[in-house]
Amino acid sequence: MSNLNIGIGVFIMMLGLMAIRIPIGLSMFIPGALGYMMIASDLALLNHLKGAVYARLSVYDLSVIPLFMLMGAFAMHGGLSKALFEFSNAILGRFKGGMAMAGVLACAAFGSISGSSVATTATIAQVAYPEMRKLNYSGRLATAALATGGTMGILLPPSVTLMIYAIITEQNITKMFLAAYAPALLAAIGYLLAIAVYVRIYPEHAPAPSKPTRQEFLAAAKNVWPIGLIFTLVFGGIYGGIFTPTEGASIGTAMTFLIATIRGNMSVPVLKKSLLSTAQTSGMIFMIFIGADMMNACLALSQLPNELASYVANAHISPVAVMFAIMLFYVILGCVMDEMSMILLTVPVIFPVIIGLDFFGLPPSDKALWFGVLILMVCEIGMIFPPVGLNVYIMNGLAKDVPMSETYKGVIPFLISDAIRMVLLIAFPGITLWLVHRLT
Amino acid sequence: MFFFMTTSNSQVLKLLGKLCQISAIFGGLILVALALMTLASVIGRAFFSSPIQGDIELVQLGCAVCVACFLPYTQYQRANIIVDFFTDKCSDNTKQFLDGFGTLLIGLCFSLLAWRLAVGGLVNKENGETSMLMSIPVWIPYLLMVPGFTLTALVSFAQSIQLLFSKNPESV
Amino acid sequence: VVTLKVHHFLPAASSFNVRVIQPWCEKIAKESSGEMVCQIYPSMQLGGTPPQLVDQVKDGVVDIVWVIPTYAAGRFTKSEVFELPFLTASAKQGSQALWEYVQKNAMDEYKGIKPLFMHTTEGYVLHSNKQVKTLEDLKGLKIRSATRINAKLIASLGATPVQMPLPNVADSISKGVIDAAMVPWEGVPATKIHEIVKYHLDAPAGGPRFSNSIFLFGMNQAKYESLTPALKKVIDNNSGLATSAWAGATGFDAIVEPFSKMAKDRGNTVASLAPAELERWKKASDNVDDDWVKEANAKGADGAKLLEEARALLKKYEK
Ligand code: NA
Ligand code: NA
Repeated sequence: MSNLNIGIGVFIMMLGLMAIRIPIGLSMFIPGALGYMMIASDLALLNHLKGAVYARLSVYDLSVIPLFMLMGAFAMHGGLSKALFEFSNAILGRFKGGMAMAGVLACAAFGSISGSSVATTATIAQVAYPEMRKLNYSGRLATAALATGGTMGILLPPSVTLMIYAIITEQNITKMFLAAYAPALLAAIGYLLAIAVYVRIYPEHAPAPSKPTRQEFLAAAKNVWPIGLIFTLVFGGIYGGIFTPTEGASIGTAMTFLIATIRGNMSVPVLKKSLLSTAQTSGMIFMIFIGADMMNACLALSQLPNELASYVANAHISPVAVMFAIMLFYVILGCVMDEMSMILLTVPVIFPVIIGLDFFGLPPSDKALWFGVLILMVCEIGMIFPPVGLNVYIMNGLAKDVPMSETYKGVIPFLISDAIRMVLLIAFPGITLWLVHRLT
Repeated sequence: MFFFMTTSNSQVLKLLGKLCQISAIFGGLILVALALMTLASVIGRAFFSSPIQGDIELVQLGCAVCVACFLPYTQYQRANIIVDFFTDKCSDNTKQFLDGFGTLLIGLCFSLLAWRLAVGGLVNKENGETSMLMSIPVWIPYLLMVPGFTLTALVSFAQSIQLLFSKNPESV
Repeated sequence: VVTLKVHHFLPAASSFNVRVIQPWCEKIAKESSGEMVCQIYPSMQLGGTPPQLVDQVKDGVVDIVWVIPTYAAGRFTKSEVFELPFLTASAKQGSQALWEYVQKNAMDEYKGIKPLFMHTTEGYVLHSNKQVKTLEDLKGLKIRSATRINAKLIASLGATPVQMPLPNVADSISKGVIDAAMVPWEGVPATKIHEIVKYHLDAPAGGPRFSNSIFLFGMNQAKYESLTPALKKVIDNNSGLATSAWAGATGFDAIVEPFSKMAKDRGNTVASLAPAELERWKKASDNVDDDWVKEANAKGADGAKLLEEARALLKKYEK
């Protein structure tokens, strides 16, 4: 059987298993393992598994995920996140859909200290989701806003994926990060607009706006300072060069714990509850990672993604059509692979082609930065695009009361805003490159 | 007969649930320790030019063990993510049967993984591989991960028996 | 047609992949008239971690790996001798000495693996934002260390070794989390360190470098045995001492000139340590050698004798 057939078989089997309620991680693991066995051998598979799980669970950049989960749990069970949301509501509650917007903005803020979309969605969701539901936001809007908001984690610096792209294509990481800011800002604006439009069309999905009294506002402001302090210190520490983003996760966790203790919100039962909820969410995320890892290994071995990539890249069509074809290719690939593996496997094939084509007369270095941002954006979209979107799954795992189909319906307005942003960024490379040219 | 089987099984499941909790809290305490260790290392580096040598590798292998300790609790809570919209219209009995089947598959896959991890640990013990800076033998985290994977498999088997054979699986 | 799965940890566009691994693969394809070809998987595409590459080739998960075996710490103590500070002077010299030394003294560390060629880098260069001229300048500097022995060297010179994955290095220097990094010139274009730092310091030309690491390009033993005599011969013709010398010279020595020119063209200072200062640095790092001898002894080898032998071989391949 050719690798192409194995690849297609693996894909269909995965969708089939998912359809009959097999957990997502397993739906990726089983076809991945079978495919690996067919391409290599059963002995190779067994030897691969000897080290694969430890390898995946000990990746430094992923080890921040349980730390961020713990930080979120401390913030939630220690009463800190309630304070934050009362404060946000005092400011944004006067707008229809204001708290959904606050959720998106919180994701953007968190995305600028975390390098991963999954970590961003899961951390903010833990804090924000219960509060939004209490305020009578529909499950559809609440889960969709947080799942989408989290995708900004990989585009906003610091971003592990962007770093890997920079290394593969030999770009300056500082310039790469600068190039990502304007598109990320555009993303945030687009999502806020999407929410504003959505709640006008479907007013029943968000509560009526409420203007707080002066006392309510002051009371909320008084309680929110600890969160402000933690965020300022972590943010300042990362951008001031005292610690790396990954270390920031540990420091944020330790500080959240300390402040919750000082405020008298920490106790043995609260600690126990925090540890158990951290265990549950982290375990849920890593079960998917273990499965995705097997799937990635199988697809890498088959060489299918790079064969398809070179097929798309070398089709004899106009450069802009090539670009759209590539974007479409990534959205589809995003169903079976995580963003890091997609970048590792396909960028070495696609990048030289992009550099060889003419886009608006851009010089190669600009083209590389522009293309990097576009690729990251499709990876972002892939995380919420049906039928397989990791962020939607994670969000849904945290919001057990909402069926997945509801979340996917809610994601549609955000996908539309993403599509518009994509067209803008492809048509006007200047948006991406402006800050780079200004500052370097 | 199934009645007796499921009754004793639900007791087994309760006992396993306790073990899962203990395992999760143990993993959580490792995580807290790692966070404090990193804080100490950063303070040491920023103010005294003396970070903890090997802080990164400690986080790496510590987190691997910690996540392995978390997995049984996730499974016990049946918190794994499933896609529900294709089976929306199915009866509860059908859904329960499918979930039982899926849980059985988890049990089988985690048994496989636990076995391979144990083999990986033993091989590493033999060849004496250590971490780079602190020279911690690599087989230690490998073998510390095995109980978590084994417990996950056991819980899954108990849950799948409950789901496949019991009419009203209360605490599954 | 025999397809060899080649797995390694650097990107496809990395200098070594382009200059050494791909040409080697093209050569064996040509000499076997297309009967034996490589399928290269760069960037750890097939999964696992760089330290696990050794076991991947040993177990036959893949057929060939290119790896820094000492990433799997504690398993290659004897081979590790060439990573000691102020020992090797060039990649060509280090690679030949390493090959001969391993063949004679350390083959037991490679059970199940057939080394095809082995090599070192040209030596680690200190890339920093603060100019370093003397031992005193190193005091308190936070320097990213590449390997175990490298970390020991940095500590013995009075600086603070910081462990960090390579992709994070450039960003961390630009933010000031670390002050410097030890990276051979080969790694500079991918990480773009030269666009972030101002100074590059190397040991005095011609003499021993600050630090080094060893590399293995090795094949699964059983896979090799399974080849036909004709294909075995193609492999044999492209392995051994001469191939090791070629890999070191092509992959590392040859790129020092163009890559350091890239840094100079940006206005960076590319300097050598003053010879008098070098003696002080060597003296400060003596304990690193002593520690290694002790470790080798603890593993049942004669550390002092092995170190002598390594030195003698380096002398032999000096020219
Ligand atoms: Na980010
Ligand atoms: Na998707």
